[in-house]
Amino acid sequence: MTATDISARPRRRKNTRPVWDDEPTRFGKITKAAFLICYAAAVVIPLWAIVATSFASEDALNRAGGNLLLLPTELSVQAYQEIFSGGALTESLLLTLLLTAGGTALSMVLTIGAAYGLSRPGSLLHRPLLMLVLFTFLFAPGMYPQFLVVQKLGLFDNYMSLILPMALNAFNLIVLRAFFMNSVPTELIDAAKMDGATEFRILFRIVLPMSKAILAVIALFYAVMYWNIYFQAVLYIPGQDTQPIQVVLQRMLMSTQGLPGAAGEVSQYQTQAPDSALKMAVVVCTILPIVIMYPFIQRHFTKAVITGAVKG
Amino acid sequence: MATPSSRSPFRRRSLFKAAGLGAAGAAGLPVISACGDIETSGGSSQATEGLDFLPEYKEWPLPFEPDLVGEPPNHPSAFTSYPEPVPAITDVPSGSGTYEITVPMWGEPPSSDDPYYQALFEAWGGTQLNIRHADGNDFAETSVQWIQANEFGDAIHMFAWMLLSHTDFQATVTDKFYDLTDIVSGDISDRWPLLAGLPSSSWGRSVWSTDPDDPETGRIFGIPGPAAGGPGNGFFVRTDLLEADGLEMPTTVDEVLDVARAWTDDAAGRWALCGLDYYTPQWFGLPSGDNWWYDEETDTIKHRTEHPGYAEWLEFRRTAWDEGLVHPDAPTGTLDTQALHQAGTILFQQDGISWWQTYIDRVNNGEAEGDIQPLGAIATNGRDPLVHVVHGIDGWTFLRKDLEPEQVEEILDVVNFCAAPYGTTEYELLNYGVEGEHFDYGDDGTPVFTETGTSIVQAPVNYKTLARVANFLQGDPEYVQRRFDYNASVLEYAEVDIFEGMRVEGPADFKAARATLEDQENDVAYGRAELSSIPDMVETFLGSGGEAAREHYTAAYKAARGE
Amino acid sequence: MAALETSAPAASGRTTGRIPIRRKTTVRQRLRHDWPLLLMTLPAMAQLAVFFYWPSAWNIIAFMDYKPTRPFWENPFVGFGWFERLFSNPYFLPALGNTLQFAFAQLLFVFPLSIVLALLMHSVISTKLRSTFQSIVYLPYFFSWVLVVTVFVQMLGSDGLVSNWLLGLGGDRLGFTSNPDTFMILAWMQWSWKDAGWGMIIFLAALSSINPNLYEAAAVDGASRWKRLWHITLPGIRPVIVLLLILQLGGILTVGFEQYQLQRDAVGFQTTEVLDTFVYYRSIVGTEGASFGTAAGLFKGVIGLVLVLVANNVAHRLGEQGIYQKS
Repeated sequence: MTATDISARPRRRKNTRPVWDDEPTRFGKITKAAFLICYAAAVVIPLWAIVATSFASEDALNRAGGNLLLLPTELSVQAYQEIFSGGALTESLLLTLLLTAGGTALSMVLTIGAAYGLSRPGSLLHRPLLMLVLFTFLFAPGMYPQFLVVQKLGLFDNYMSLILPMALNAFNLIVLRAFFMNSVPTELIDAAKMDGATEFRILFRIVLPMSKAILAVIALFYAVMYWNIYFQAVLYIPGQDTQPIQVVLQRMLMSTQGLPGAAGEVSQYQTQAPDSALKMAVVVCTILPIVIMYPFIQRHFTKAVITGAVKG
Repeated sequence: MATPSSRSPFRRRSLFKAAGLGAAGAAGLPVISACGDIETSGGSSQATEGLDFLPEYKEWPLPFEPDLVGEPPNHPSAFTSYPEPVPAITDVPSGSGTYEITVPMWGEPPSSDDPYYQALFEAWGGTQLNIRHADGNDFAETSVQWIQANEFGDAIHMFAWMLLSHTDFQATVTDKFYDLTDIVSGDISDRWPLLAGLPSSSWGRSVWSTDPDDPETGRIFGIPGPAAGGPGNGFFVRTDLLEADGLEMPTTVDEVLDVARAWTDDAAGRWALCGLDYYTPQWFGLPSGDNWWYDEETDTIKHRTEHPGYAEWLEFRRTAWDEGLVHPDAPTGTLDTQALHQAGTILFQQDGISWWQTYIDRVNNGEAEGDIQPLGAIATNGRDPLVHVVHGIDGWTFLRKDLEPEQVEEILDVVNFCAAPYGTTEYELLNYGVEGEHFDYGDDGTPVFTETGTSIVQAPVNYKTLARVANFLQGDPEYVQRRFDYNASVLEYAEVDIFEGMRVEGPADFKAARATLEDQENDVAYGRAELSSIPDMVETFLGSGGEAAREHYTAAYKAARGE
Repeated sequence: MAALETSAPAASGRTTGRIPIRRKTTVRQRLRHDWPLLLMTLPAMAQLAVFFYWPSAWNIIAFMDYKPTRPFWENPFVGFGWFERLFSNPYFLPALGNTLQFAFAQLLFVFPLSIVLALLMHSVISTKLRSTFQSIVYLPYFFSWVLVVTVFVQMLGSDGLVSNWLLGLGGDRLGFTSNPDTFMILAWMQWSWKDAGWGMIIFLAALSSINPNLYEAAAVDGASRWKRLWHITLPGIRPVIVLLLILQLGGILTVGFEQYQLQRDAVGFQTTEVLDTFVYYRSIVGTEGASFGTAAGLFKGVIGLVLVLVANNVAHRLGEQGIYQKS
């Protein structure tokens, strides 16, 4: 994408075919529609089956062969009651929420600071610092050295190892920096400086309020990243009893292994809710925050893409 | 691009400059010192006998004699009655430290907030030794990293077979764990009478040399865990399910397959077999441990891959898989097979021998139904059956290197307590918990677990498995009798330890090659590779570490025989 | 990464060409002026230093016989010894082969799918339909791999929805999610399901920046639908295609870890072993040691670096912009 795109607004097309365009053939239309519908169905049907199963009662599940079903005949919220009954699953969800909130906050502080700090070409050390950021796109230090560093810092088996190593995404930084440089009028900043405003004041009073949309998108991308943490947990905190929800999900679903004791002493052999329903309810719980955030991402995303975010 | 190119921060020149620097740096290194070669650990072997710095053995007189006398070590004696327990330790030392020990846990970790722990802390005179339960399925692998990062608390309990996952355990031990020699050497019967009563051979197995090339530098680094004796694993069958289908207990490998064929019903979601990887090799005469055996004909040490039964074993596993007799999710290796066995989804279950008692306990308190029984000694092709037994001790407890001597002594106080044998009040507290809370006395005076007791106290590894001055079969009298009889029935087929008196650690390359070999064995067994690939697989294994390890094990074999 | 270039435009009016001409100020004066900016950058730089550059420096142990049990400087340098071991390891080359296979499959089959989806979507007239469809297809991009693999196992696994239908119809179970022979197809389906929507969004954005007057002019000149596609649409999104291709090439050895790790047990290690899982299973939880795993990772990192540079160079020669600029 080129720099000229930045000024280009997404063109809103009218809901009618332009006069110069010829009507596509019937065959073309049907093929296109069929392809798109199949594609959407491939996304929607599994998700529907998961939600339906999570609300299914034991009887309904047994009739369906104990697995997924598409039409829950009797609804039951037992599975959800169990998840939120204060046991290991609740703990895992809380931990993941906490990691997501804390991680996103830290990431935003780092990203905003650096994006603004690097938004003045010509400032002291601007180029070398920018180079340091950009080099991260070209090279990866490797899994083992990163692991060693986490170990040397004493972060092994420590929840901070799920936040600190990935707190800064250079790509988000560059996107935000570009936005600060291009979309915040220089005149405003200059005028504020004339009035004797400090850089911090300019950042908080002028720049950030003007960047709400892109900040929201970046924060959401970070949040999704933290919410989805799996591999880092496998790598860095194998010894913790309470694991992020993705790890719990993996343990539950990639195997027919028992569930973490839902409520203290209730062990896997005595779960109240039907097994499949409980599993699918956990899946729903991991998807739900994403689906809730999704409209926000959708709304502001085009803007971010147009600003030059081509690849995350 | 509207951007003036000279303004782009990522101009090619500067980029290459940055990249070139790295390349020059990397290229420069070998020039600095192109010498030196990689030293991978060549393994070690440590004599465990004839050491003069071990704790002096002082027999600890048992309060009761066993009811059934076996032939230890492979056929341990047993108690079928429960005597009125007597205290083993008269003056309990007082302690104030708080420590943490990491132990493997298979299944659901019990709650750590339970009166069981409080009662024990109190009995220990105030010392708190908290247990951190870590997943047993990958304990061996993750323990490598915990130990490296000193993240195992103050102590870690490891089973002997877990050492295979460590590149160079000998170096790890001496680098990371507390050298107990100065504390436990000589007469310790005053402070730790029970530890002084542990057989010298088990202390001998806890010795590692600080210099791998010099066995004379041996020091004591671990507290020896109990030696259970007899078969450590079993191939259990749900006898109630067998009967329900009118099937007989199989007595040959072919009969196992026949029973499996008759019982399996894919559509109904039941499969006779599941795990076949670590128990079934003995049916084909394959050796246990590091998988070496002595071939009398050629007077050489050979690996199991060079055993005629090896291909037969893989063929058996493949047949079972191809015919759909194995649980289809078995390859994932993550099934909770105990739960499946209990639910009757699978008929046969390979497991540690403790599954027998666990199952009976669960039946007794209504969690499970039916009954299980291990298959007896069976073999193929007219061979004599072979039964793998536990050689020496199960494992060790290691302590963190930077503890103060007083702290180590305090932990040893606790371990001394935990070593109390059957028939003592200490033993009762450790193994059954608190009366009324975790167990109640049955009509015959035998403790019977409550539901809480089953989940808390019955964890496979906790304080009760740290050490034991003498081991007996114990528990439900009927179960004890059955297990005693079972041990007697397989005794004559017990595998002989060809490295008796030595603890051998294989070279790093051997361990790596072996790990890969196991992956490939599973590929063959689960139809992901063909049976015809076995020779290649074996050749690769021997070429990438197996052959070199043969020398190491041969030397250890000779040393063990005093040659 | 086109973003790299967007750093300048708005500022260009202000400072074009002036960067090299430093104002005649001393460092001390500039520090007095710029310290708030430096202070704001500091936390991010500290994070990079600790979690990017420090680990990068640790790569030096790929050239040492590193043992964690001895002090760092007592570890001898062994040159390229570990790389020799790496290449003589019987499982390294297969892992490399798998990695390349997956990478090229992604390039060849997922990439075009995104373009096709975008083109189809672009031609949907109704805004409402378009945005609904867009939302649906793009959603799985935000799912974790755990979730994606779960969904596939639940739907297509041997105990999944489809299997149970088949069983109900008297058929056999579908062993699709544990069959190594068809893993490539499975992986392709997973990539498409998860990522094609994301690619589609990017190409849609690129498509929307093509001037519609071009189409109109072409249509008036009598160019057919296909001709317009070939002569206007594709050239219009070519810079984005090239850019994404280069980035994919750079990350070609980074095909992802989670997808393969999660399905390793089900499908077998031979089919799913890629470089990252190789490092994890052989050295982090395996017995090959730190230097070995570092060497494998460094090999991957250096190849990735070289590929980006080469691909970018080729792009320049073809008259494209690539990810960074020719000076």
